[in-house]
Amino acid sequence: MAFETKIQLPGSDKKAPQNAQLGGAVEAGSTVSVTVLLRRAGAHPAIAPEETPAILSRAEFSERHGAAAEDLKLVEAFAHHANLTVVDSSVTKRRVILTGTAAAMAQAFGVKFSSYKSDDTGQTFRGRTGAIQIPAELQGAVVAVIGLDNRPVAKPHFRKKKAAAAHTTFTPPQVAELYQFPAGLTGAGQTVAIIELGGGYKTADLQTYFENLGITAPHVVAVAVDGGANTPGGDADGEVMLDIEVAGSVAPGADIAVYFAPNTDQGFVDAISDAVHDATRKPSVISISWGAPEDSWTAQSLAAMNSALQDAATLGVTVTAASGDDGSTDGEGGALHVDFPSSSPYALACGGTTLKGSGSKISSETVWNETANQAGAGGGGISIKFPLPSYQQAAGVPAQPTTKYLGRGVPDVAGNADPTTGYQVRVDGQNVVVGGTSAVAPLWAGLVALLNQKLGKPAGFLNPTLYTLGGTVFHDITVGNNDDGGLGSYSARAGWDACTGLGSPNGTALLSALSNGSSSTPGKAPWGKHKHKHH
Amino acid sequence: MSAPSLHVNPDREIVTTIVIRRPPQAAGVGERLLSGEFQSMGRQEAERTLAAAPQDLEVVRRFAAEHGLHVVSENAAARTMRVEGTIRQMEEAFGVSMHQRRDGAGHEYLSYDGDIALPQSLQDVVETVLGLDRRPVARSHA
Repeated sequence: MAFETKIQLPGSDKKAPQNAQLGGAVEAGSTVSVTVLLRRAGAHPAIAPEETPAILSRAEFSERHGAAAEDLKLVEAFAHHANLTVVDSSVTKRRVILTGTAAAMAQAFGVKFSSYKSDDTGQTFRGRTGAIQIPAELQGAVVAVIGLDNRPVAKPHFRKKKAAAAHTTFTPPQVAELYQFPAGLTGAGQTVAIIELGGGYKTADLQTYFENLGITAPHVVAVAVDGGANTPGGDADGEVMLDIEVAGSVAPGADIAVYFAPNTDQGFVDAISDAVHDATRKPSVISISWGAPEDSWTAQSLAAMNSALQDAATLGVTVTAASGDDGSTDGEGGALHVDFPSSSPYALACGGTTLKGSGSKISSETVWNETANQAGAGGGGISIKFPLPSYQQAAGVPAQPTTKYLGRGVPDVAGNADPTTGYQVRVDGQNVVVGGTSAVAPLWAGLVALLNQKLGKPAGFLNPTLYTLGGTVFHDITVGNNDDGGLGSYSARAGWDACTGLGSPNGTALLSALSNGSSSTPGKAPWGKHKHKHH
Repeated sequence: MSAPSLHVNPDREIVTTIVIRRPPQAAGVGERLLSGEFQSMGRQEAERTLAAAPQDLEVVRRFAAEHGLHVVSENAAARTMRVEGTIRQMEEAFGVSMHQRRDGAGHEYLSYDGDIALPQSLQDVVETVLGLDRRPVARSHA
């Protein structure tokens, strides 16, 4: 009979949590969400840091770095056998997200759960002791199972009230509250455009989600580009749902237009172009959570995309772009890469942090780096395709370490992205927690919608203004690094850095600064140059 | 790349996007934006500044007609023209040899060898042609 023989998952042994009191048993019917991480199918790339990085097509990247399709299928088969639901399954991300009852999870992975109460925060959490058991068939294929332990139990109905204790994960409005998004605004009168190159959404899921948050669901419409369409039921649904739910819950008064295009340079360029020139919907902000390492694009694709982004900026449309989830290598091991389109100087590049806090009080915010758990790190670095723009001249952006090229620094700004402190969203009928810089682009897009509502005109191309603002507009993140390849780059520091840019937002202070037109001389940053070198 | 080339049906109809150059009045706008000279121009002024020159649009229309390509849509403000034709017509119009490619993940996509070759009259006018190569370009960051 399949999956009967179990073996111990190496490295999964866990001792009892420190600084916590053992409580009662964990409710058998409570929902548990886990991420099963898989081995790479191909060999590790043997690219020495000083060599020119190999230009990998997305397919080659998937082949070299992705999981084997057979491994994924085996995990899915095991899930069905064990009464677990497959929520998301990705070759490129080498992961399968599963949900199920605590009882089913305990049986599937051979663990015993206990409830604990943290001495520090008073928060109740679920823990396990001992090692995880996996079926012998999965030996070698499964690298880790994350989430059985030390995660809050996902409840079917999200709490919208503020909790006294610190949250581990958040609803998007809770993140907005921590970032002091201006009160009394909904983004009414604005349209937020979201570009998607795959996947889809189900209206019923969106309605349930917003209802659970106590929010009137925003009006969402799908726009077809080059034969693209809203096609839920695939790998990219998590992305689409995350984007709509984050932007929609922080700016619920704004209309949302989702432009679906094929995953080609033609699709991507046409989608941006269609959104920018949409005379009916006139979006004032575009959110983009798709990208690839800079050097994986052909020169002509890069130029066409950048041209479309320049036009967006000229027309007064803000474009937010996620900076990537694979740290300073952007997933191409052994060398430094930034992700495009976030590396375009016309995009507002959004990097990732690990955010902790409660209510409107941030208790800590550091660079997102979970590479030790194979759970990603915020993208960032120095472009080797685009030169340093005027607006970054005084921000202390270093030369690109390998080529010494004086390139555009990535990102410009940041926001919560760590999956372990991630966003409670709803994907294909399941409540799950998702992270990634994918969440930061729609978060900032929602913020811009709020700003535009209040300002009475589009904020437009914000980058030059942002670099002149000091004071309380940004939480400067100074702790952590996004070094996912052991290359020694990059570290956070005071002022702009290649992990979190200028920092995460204080939305109220930003609105105030934009309302007063209180920028100083264009191109002048408040921090000045740094004396010591950074990489 | 190690992806094998596969035969493509020359009668298959596809739509490509022809991207036209910026007009003279748009020169320098990029640098002015980056230096913070203005946050936006206002939609109407921006569209006037960025729109393709009428004579450039006409050159591309004539080119399409000469090669049997049907103009599906024109967007002067976006400087794009979407044209439809068979693979054979596209190959002849743009001087490329097209084929299907299969990548390591088993995904098939349209592609071509070498460079696009445009006639003299189009070389300054057209910035690029998109849609002849359809490799996947991006992944999601969720």
